[in-house]
Amino acid sequence: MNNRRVVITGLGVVAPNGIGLKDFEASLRAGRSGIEHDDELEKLDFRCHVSAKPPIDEELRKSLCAKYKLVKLKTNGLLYGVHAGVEAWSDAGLDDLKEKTDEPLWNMGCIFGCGAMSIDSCDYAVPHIRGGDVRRISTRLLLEAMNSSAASYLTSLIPFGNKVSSNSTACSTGTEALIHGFDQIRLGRADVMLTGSCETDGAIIWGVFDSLRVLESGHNDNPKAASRPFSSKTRALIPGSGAGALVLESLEHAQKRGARIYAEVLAGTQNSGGQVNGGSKTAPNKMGMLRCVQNAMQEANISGKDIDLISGHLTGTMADPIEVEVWKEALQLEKEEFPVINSIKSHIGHCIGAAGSIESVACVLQMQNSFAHSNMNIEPVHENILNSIPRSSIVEACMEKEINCVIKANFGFGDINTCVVLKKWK
Amino acid sequence: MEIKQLTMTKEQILNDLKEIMKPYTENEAIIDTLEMDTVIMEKMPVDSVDLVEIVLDIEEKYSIQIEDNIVPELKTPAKIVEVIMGKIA
Repeated sequence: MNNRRVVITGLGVVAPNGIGLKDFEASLRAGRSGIEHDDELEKLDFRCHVSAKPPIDEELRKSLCAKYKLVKLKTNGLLYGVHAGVEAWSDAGLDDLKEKTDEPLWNMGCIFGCGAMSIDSCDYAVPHIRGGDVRRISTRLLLEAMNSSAASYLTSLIPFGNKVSSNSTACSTGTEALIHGFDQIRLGRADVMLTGSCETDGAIIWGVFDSLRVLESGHNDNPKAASRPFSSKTRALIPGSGAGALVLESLEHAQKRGARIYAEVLAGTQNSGGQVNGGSKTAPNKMGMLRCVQNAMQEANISGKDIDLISGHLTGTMADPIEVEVWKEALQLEKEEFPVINSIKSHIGHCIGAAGSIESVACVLQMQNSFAHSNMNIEPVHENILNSIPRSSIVEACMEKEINCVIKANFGFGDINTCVVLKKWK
Repeated sequence: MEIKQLTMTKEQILNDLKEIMKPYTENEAIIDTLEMDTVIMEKMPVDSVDLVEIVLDIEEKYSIQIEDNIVPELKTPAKIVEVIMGKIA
């Protein structure tokens, strides 16, 4: 197997707490929550009245839609994905390749995933269809509703000639996209891959989550306190939306063009718990989670002592203590040796298919700029978590810290696990 | 007088057409160069979905319905203007 080294050279983000890398990092450092009261959810009698959406007002939306030729856009997720992807491409210093020629960029591709692409466009389409007015439905809807729509629109802006695709594995989608891009490059099939994921927002996508009783309803009057990973005062998650994007590149290609390199991808693993032994369509099998993390550490050739930061999936649900047990068992460290651990979900809720990408961008920024963002609302920390790791490992206030190695995982519905190991480039 | 009025109407419809087409092209400057006999697909890099979308926009703008069998004939602004004028007359 060809095993080329793969590095990260570009980042882009559209998150509930910041549009663009600068705002996003500032919010992470300040502990600025992107979770707000959601009038629509309250009006529609949801249990949960709070959500986390990127702060894009009508004026900005209009200008971005015009910029990207997203005519008559009926979904927000696609806009988030395209904007994050374009920022990452520009951040990688590859803007000059956007100029179209007759020759596609054969060595460059795009994998951009989503959990439920354009499901919110049902609001527009269904009345037309059921009302016998199918003739007047905007045909653009077809291009938006494809799961590959973000990859497709990004290709209309950047002429990718390599693999262009999308993936979908619920909460693991973002990390999985990164892994797919990583594999494509390390196998020698591409030199550059734009990877990422996006998720839309609103009542249509979140309705079933509310019905499933996995959305938090106990903090409707205090949105900033609603998302509580690590805490025993939590039952459910906060719905979020947005997009994250990373430009992956072979080390050789990046060095040849003199690119700024953020980090190296040391490993990317994926498995399933098979929906046995406690695993189900909605819950992970602990054996699968553990094996996925262990495989990533083995692939990266690292031990627990090499890890400076764990970026957990940690959604603020009853699964948090189980996940922390997995990290404890995988790292094989004495309790006091355990590294710091954080989850961005206390800041921005759970962005579902976009979560892994946004969180991966956060991981790289924390390595690049030597800090670990806070975990908000952890009180009271779940006692089972404190049985596994020391309280001091749970970052309470943003801390300046040299971070050379991050391990990050996401565990998705369908009992699908993903884990990556990233190392700061020096 | 009647001929002049007809010409002005055609120009107005052409201008409307340009405004309708603008959001669908990457290069809006091309729109301004459209003449009545320009073959649209040769000048503008729009895809088949956009063409249908433009037809829908025209229908909405003039409150008309363009039959499916006519759509493939709408290759130039002149033809589109002719169809529109025939419908709104």
